[in-house]
Amino acid sequence: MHNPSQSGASLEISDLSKAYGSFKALDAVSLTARQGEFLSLLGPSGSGKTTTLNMIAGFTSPTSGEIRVDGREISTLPPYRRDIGIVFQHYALFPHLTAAQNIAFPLQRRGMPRRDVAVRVAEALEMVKLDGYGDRYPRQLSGGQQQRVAFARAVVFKPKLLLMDEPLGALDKKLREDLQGEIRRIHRSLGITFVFVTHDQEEALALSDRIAVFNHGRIEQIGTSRELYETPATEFVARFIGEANIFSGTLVRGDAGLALDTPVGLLPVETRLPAGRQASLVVRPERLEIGKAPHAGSDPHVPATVRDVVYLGSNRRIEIVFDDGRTGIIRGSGRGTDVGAGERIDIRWSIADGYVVPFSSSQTGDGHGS
Amino acid sequence: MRGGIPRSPGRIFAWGMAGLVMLWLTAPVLVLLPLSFSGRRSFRFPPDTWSLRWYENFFTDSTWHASLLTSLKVGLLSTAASMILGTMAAFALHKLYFSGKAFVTGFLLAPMIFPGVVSAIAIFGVYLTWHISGTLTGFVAAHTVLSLPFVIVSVRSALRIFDWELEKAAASLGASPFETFRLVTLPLILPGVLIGGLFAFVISFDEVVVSLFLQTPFVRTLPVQMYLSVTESIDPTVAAASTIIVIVTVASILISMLFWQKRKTSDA
Ligand SMILES: Nc1ncnc2c1ncn2[C@@H]1O[C@H](COP(=O)(O)OP(=O)(O)O)[C@@H](O)[C@H]1O
Ligand SMILES: [Mg+2]
Repeated sequence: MHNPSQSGASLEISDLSKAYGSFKALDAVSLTARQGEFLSLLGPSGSGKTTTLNMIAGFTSPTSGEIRVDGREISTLPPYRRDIGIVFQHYALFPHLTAAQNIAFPLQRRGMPRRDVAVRVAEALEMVKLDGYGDRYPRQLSGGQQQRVAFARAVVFKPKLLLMDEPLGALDKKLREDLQGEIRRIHRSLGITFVFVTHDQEEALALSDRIAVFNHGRIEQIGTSRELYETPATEFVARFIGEANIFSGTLVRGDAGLALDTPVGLLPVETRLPAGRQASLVVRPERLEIGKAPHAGSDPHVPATVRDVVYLGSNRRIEIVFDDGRTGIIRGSGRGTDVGAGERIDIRWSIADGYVVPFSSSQTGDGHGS
Repeated sequence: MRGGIPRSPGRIFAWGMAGLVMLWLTAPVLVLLPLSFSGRRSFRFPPDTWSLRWYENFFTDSTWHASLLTSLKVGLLSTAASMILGTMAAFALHKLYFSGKAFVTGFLLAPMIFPGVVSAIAIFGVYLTWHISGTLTGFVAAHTVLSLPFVIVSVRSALRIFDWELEKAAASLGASPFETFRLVTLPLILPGVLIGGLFAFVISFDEVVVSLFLQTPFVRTLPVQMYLSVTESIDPTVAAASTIIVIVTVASILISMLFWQKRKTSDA
């Protein structure tokens, strides 16, 4: 068993920018990945994830900023001297070499003796459960098998850092889930630092120690899955990670404390933001409760109309429409959720379950989280 | 081979046309082949007596076999040169962006469509001042220029379907740019390079116009020797020479096809 702190490198990126003409593909991005960490770069298409990865790999030169691996600045090293493993979305296996020859390639480049190469290739094939497939050419393998070979090839030379750019993007859902499990298993056993690019938030949540959320060439937030879900830094993150009910308005100070003045009413909130600021209130679908009559207590509550109820086995997903026309979602189980389409309800939540984020004008991204 | 048996009138017509075209293309060979075995010093067809004397003459008379040797040397050297230069040029045209690229491309491909006799006079004129007319170097350089465009075109089409992510992958695995080229890019575009090389060899091997200007009695390619022989005398050795040219050309095509087949089966 490897000691994770020995086989993984730390990665520090500071103020990294990439401009194409006047267009900033990446704008002063800073992030760190600890030794042996599984860090995901998550964001909609075009948000700068691949650009970041290409600069770490050395395929693109930064306009400004620094990239350090284990404290050492690598911007001046050519890609083939960086010793960083990469898994490409479309596998990028050499079609004229067999699976075993593909995996042997990085070892041969490092001048490893033949016999050792054979041993390491056999181990790598076993690791990705492809023993016996070494003599096959890439086109004789399925997409999933090809990606396993690509994975084996990228880690067989024991890099301290592994970059993956949407490695599962070309595979179907079932295969994707299988491979996710294997990636986690291999990450744990190798202790290598993984930087994993995806636009699929579920994939990022399932795999990562921490996630960096990208939008328009900037990082909106870096944190654990739980931090991103429970305390999103921006409305964009709240929408991109999981599902959210969002109410926007102005913070006002009333008799009972701070409240957000929204088109659907005055909603009591707890926040450090000062009164007078524009802000958005995020409430997760499973935090909402359904009442048949308007709530009488001090908790925030909003009237709504049920639009659709979807049964998902253990729970239900209820789509609602607020009186200003915006939609919302409730998830829950039990008797309280026994409602039908068209029914008028009153939804409420505990004040601590609402989370206030500063209002931002650029609410964008092609492809929001679902 | 179901298509081998003509059934409908359309099929019969198609096969008839194909047969005619084949006859048309091979007719010269069908005349030359018997002539080369003639027993007499005459071009009478069909010959009334038979012998191997014209082949014997070809291989004993040094003006003939020396010219074959010159043709092979020029052909192989100019093919090697145009394969290397053409591949490099195709890479540059594919990978680099520079102003005047369209002009440079056109310039490199021009020999393909430029009237041969004009090129010949131009090359001859330049060679006189460089003093390389009538030298092997001169022949190789001229033929390289003429065959270069064919290599460029065929390598470019191979590069167009090449997956450039493979070069990134190779680099990430520790291969230097040169190793990447040798181990990944070249093997994958090799079919394009070889087809270009085959074209180059065939073009050089039967090039007459430029070679006629550059020839001397000491350095002379086979097609030129044949032309001069026909204008000077009645010598059926020229028929034997033609047969040899056809054999060399067909052989080079067959060898490349065999190579192909082997590649295909070896990595299938
Ligand atoms: N070579 C390039 N020239 C111009 N724009 C580019 C180039 N490469 C990427 N971009 C732009 O940079 C932005 C970020 O791209 P990318 O990093 O590939 O996004 P992602 O991987 O997050 O989908 C996109 O808007 C893209 O169009
Ligand atoms: Mg991308």
